[in-house]
Amino acid sequence: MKKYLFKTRYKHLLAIVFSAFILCFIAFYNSYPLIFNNDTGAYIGAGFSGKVAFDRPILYGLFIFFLSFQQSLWLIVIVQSLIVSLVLYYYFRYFTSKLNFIPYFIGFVVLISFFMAASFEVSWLIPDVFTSVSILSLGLLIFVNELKIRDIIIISSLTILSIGVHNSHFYICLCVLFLILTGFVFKQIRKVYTISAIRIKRIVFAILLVIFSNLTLSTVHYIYGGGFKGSRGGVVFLMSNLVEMGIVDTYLADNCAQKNYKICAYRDSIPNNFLWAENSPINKTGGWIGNEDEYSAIVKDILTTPDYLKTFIYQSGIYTLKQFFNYDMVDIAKPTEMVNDAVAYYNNEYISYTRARQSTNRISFGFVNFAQNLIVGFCLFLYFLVLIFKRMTIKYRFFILFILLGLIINAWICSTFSCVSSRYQTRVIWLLPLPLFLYILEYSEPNAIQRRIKSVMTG
Amino acid sequence: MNKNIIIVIFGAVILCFAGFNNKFPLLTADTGVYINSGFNRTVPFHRTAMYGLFIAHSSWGRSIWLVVFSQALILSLILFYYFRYFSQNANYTVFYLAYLFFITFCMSASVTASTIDPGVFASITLLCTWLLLFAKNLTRRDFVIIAITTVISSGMAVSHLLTVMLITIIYGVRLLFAKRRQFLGIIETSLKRIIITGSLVFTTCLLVSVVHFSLGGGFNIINKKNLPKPPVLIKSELASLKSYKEIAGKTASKHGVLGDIKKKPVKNFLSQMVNIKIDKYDRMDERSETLQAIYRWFNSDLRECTIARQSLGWLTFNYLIYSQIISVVLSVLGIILFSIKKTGPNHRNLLVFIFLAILIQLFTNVIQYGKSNDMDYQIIWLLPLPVFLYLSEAISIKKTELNQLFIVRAS
Repeated sequence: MKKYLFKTRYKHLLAIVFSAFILCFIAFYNSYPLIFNNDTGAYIGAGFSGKVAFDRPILYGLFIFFLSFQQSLWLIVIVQSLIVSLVLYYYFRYFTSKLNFIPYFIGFVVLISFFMAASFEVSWLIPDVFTSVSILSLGLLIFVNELKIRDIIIISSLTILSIGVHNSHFYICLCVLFLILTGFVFKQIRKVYTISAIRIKRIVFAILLVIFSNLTLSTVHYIYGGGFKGSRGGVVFLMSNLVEMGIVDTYLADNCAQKNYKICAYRDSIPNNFLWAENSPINKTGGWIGNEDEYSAIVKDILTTPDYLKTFIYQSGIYTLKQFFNYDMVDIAKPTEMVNDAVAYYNNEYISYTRARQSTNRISFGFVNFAQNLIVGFCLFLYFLVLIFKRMTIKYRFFILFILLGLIINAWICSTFSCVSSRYQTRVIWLLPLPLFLYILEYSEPNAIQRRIKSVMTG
Repeated sequence: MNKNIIIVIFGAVILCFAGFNNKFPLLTADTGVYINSGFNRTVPFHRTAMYGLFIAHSSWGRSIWLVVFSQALILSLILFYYFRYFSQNANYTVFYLAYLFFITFCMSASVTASTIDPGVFASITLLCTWLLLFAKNLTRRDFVIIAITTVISSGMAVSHLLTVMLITIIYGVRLLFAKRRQFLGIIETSLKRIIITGSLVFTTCLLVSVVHFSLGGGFNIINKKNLPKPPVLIKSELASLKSYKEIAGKTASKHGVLGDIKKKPVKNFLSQMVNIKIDKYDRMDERSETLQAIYRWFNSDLRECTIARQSLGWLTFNYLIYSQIISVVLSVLGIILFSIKKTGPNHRNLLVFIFLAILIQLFTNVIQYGKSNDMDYQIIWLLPLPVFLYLSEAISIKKTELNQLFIVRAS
């Protein structure tokens, strides 16, 4: 018996490592981890300098700094892939009652690595892969009853880490959890929760974890001299999006005569790329910190004036839809100077970095993008049918809703408070086929089909 | 809310996929002409004024996204009616959604529905005509909706109107001959239906002429009076007359105004039949009439427009084109297979209609616009429709047989 258990454990461990290897596919194909211009540079820079930037948390920078051992950025990709592989493994192990789940687990990883964006995300040196990790971890905490203490600790730690690495994760997770919590108010939904074995206790625990994550991040920022503050630059991001929505143009046209804002001097020349353009008013009038008060006042005024608010709500709806359907892998431009400088910290890898496909403009994902479109279309079609015609068990229907909720809230938060960028939805879109795979695993056995035929025969 | 209404709205949202993916409705070189005509209340040269008015009203003068939603909603509703009235399967909504997803993600339906161009109404017109001629037991409400949609959609372009006219005439003639050797099958037309469709065509002609007359363009369906005028220059840095002349020349020649119209129509028609590329979504020039019109009439959308994939030159449909070609080939193979298997007259009638309608639509387009028109990809996604209908019925029959088998065994 002991030998059998050891063998099974060994097999599962091997499966996790093998899946992690598959998940690194795009990094191998590129011959080096993928970088996202300036952002990757900013994260590496923050990690090495220990300075908290005004626009992003330092945690991912520290994650890179410590886990790369200042030796190789490949280690980051490996750790990211192991984390994703482990969390997915937990789903296949705990979510279904089947013991022989390894082929389905590997099959799922192959699908999301070769035909969807999972490998792309894992191979990318930005914290985007952790959005999915945070949603998946919360899902495990909410849906699975029989988690071992060891696994609860691992999943909770991953939740704390994944929420802390990016500004948006805290809000996304909190929104998802509060929406689920609101369900307890309604009798009908409460019934669904009871059938799906969802307990209020676990949701409260998840909310506390999210809050704890934010407190941890604030403490880390405090230690590194950035003040006791979790998310950063929120108002400026929102201001930038209001510019893109065209609301700031109207607002300034209506109000510059009465109010003496610094930005009024540039109201005819505000660029679309408000945050990063060199000629942007933000750079001419005191930068992010210098403008925070003025932009806060403008944002507050816009959100409390019914006319602007109406436009904002309408645009927010449109932007959410745009973001939901924007998940192509396109942000793979040639590295900029800032990234080159940052990667120079890893001196021994610099040559392979300069010879990578991305650095030499030899990478594109046209086929994978199209394949992903087809998979997303198929999943949406199937899930819509399942939800509207009430097929599948309640537990699976609710899990599908949970994943869709994660995707929609991610689209809403990112598109409304930052901007519409393919990057934001690419990071979560590959979660879509997960419920389908779990359901197939649970109900695809020949015995199950025989049972169904028998049940029809016997009425 | 009624389940069917949710399904139709969901279908409409899915049909807008290409627009969402582009981050802005897709634009063509002619979009500006239609927008200006709608808001200036003028009749554009060599076109009808209906689409311009549709833009002006459906957008509520506020957001261009509402135009795309309206188009997609109408298309989604008509496709829903199609499956409701022609599928024998009780779960017709499943096949409706399957078809809708298929044409959205594997073919160009979403691109067509998300474009500010009357092209999407070509297929709506064909589907409405089919419903009017053949659908049985139409409820009064559905009939009224379909009739109104037929009038509006066929009035969007002269070629649509010609297509409905020709189809009605052909089926009218066919009915005369069919009387002698009894019409077979569930789907058949009648003199009453032909007369109704014909009268709707007449109504459309009348409506378009009255609209043109009221807008000062003469009592006719094609305005040949007003040559295209340069748009009012909004910003000096955005437009210059010299470049406008080039653009206007290009647009006009694209629509055959300058010469290609009646040259070699048969050759053009044949080349059009095999040309299902999606290639007209180029980056818009800052001085183009389209961007000028967006600036002028949808000013708050301008920023969105300038950061759209199309405006940045990132919009490509390479894989969608491959997928479309494969889908067309598979559909034709499926249709041939079903024909060999001697499917019921139900399907044969539909196959004949779809083929005929597509050919007539292409022909009327070539006659009106010349060979550079892109109508083919705007209607080619109608081709898998008979296949989906066949599948829905085949599965329904199989299911009934299986249930009967279970009942026999159980007893």
